Amino acid sequence: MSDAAELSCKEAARLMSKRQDVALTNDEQENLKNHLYQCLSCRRFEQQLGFLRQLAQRYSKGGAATENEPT
Amino acid sequence: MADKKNINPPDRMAALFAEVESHRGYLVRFATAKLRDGDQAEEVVQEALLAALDGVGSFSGQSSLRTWLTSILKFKIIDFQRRVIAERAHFSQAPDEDDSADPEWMDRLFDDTGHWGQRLAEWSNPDDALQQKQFFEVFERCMDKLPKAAGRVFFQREVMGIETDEICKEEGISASNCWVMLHRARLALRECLDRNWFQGVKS
Ligand SMILES: [Zn+2]
Repeated sequence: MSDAAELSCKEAARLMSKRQDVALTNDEQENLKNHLYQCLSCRRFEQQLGFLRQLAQRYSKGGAATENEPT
Repeated sequence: MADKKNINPPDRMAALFAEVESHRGYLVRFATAKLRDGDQAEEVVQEALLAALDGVGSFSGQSSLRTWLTSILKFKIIDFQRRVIAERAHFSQAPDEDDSADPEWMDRLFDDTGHWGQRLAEWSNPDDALQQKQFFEVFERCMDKLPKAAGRVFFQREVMGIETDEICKEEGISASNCWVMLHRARLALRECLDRNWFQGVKS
């Protein structure tokens, strides 16, 4: 019997971060999926992590895309 | 006796200054398009114009003045971008605080059972934020506040897009250590952006 480990948010967050750099193992993926299914805060964290990456990339290209100063 | 007198040098310089100056508007627009930042553009154009006036003797007149100025500006922009990247890459090497200053920092985000101490709020209009210069300023300040090693690793990974392996090797740390640092940086940045931007944006 494979006892799917219940992840805490702390562990889930660590896995989501790790996933940005390397592939997770099957177990890790499965546990994370189960946790995300039932945890709204972690789903938000997942989105925000993705946004953070997008933000850093945009920043590396010079920041805000608007050519005209917003007034 | 019909020796045509040259316009005296100061007048000639003044005329050239004025002509160079007349291209400033165009150059600023060019630099802004490239740098996507009005203030930075003004700064770079200023540098370029000073360099141009310094080296005005080397202007052959074969290309138009605008073309010549633009080519100087292009070099200055590349210079400027390099400088910004280098400063960013090293900003976090300030000698003071490091990760060990507050080892419990990360734990305080979560309660004893490992759940978020506070429920995460949704970020509204993140795409909108990406259009705003002020948001990037907040992001910069948040990066500045990271512990030095975490900030350096985050910058290399996310801004420069360097692979983790390479960063770890450079930093002389293990891969797992690298991930821990990146994770801390992401958590801290998330907090910082949340507090300093998204909680104020309600729509
Ligand atoms: Zn959770």
